[in-house]
Amino acid sequence: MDIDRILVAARGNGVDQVAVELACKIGGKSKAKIYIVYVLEVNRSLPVDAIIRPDIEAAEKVLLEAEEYAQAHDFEVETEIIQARDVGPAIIEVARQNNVDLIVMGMSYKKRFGSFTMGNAVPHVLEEAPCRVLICREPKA
Amino acid sequence: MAKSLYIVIVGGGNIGYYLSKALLNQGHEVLIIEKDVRKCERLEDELGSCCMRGDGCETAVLSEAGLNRADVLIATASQDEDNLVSCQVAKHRFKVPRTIALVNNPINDRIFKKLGVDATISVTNTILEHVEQEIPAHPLIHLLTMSGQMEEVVELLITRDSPSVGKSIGQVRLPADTTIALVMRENERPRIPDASTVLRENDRVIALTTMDSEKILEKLLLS
Amino acid sequence: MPGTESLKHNKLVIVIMGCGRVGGKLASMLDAAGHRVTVLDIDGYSFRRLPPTFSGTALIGNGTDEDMLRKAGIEGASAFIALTQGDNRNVMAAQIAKHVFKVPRVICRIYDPLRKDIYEQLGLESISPTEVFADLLFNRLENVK
Repeated sequence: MDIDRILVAARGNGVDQVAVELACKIGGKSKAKIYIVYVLEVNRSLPVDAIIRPDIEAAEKVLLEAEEYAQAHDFEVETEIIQARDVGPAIIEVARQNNVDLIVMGMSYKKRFGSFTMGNAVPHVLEEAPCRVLICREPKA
Repeated sequence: MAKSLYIVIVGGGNIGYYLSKALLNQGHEVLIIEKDVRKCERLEDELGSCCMRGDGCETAVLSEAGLNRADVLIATASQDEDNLVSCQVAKHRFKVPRTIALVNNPINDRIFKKLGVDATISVTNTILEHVEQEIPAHPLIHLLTMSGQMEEVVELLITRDSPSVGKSIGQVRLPADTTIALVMRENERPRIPDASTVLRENDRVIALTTMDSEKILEKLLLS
Repeated sequence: MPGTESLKHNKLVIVIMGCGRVGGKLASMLDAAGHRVTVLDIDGYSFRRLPPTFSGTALIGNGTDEDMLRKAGIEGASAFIALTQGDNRNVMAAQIAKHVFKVPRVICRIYDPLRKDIYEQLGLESISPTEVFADLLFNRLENVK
């Protein structure tokens, strides 16, 4: 299993750091390049390129922490904030553009109306990704 | 390129699909609102993230669609009443500057405009107009409907038994919102008439009128 | 009922669109009170809800069609009530009755409370059964407490 390029999809859900750590462990042997992308979902009531300060600042903070961690472990890192209407398709697009071998995503344990839910993005990525996908679900609270 | 608009289309059927495709190509931002999940998925596969699942008559759905910043709403559902409600909610609740509705029943053309829809498109009327233009001696032909208004341009053929034959335009008591713009006569250049211009058999008259006055005009000039 | 007394004095011409449970019931009540009632429904089977004594007119047709409303005698009507299952159909027919035919009293049923609010603001007399019934239940339960 050759893994040279790993995409970490950060989403500000508190699981991002775990996803970065996992990516570093997996990419350790081959010294893979790590792309960390934060997708900001923009509500339709705003243009997709709207500048939403607090959201961007939060995303920058997550990316900075992730970048520092990966660099400290001697990885080549690239980070980016992407604004989109839907997280799933945006992740797939970045994965394709950079021709990555693996997508790593973290997700928290969530229930909606009493039953377990994965949201929209994770199933979309699982269905559409051209490469391997690793999902890390957080332990139940 | 001209200013890019945010256009919301209600209904992801054939018209909604082809319309979005063309508008996206022109560089506009487009969102389709469609009730059917499978249609939504197909549209997203083809056109990208430009579809939302929901009922385009519901305030909550339209609010989520960001209608507050929409420049145009186009209602393309198959039922006239659904299109009316989408346009009215868009207009009155979200102040969308331009609303366009598809209508099936041609009578609704006029009613929708009266009820505040900016423009209507009636397939039935479009076909009818083409049929009228194919018939050489049809007495009244719709040439043009002014967008967003109740005004239209019609062509009338004065026949031998028209009540207006031999009368001057001043004598024909036209409705206040109606103007005869042009009189066309065989072997003569079309002329802009005045009150003294006398109408003759076989004259073709181009008039600017309104949907409400069309019937009166027809009565005065034709029978 | 306070309204019934005043209704009895002058005979009204009323067009009701939709002969469901409410439409059928209202039609037979108004008919029994001596008014001239025309009921419209797209499904003739709905007219089974009218009592055998019903002396008004039952007409098969779509009330959002101007021509059909004319056939139902909307031009001389003193009231029009829109009671089909579809909010949008009701809203459209009621607006035609009010703005095209200038019917003096038009009442429209709109299940969706949000839509009802919008059309009420636009001057259409509207009732949301959803709201009315939820309020009724809420008040009863609150009073038990």
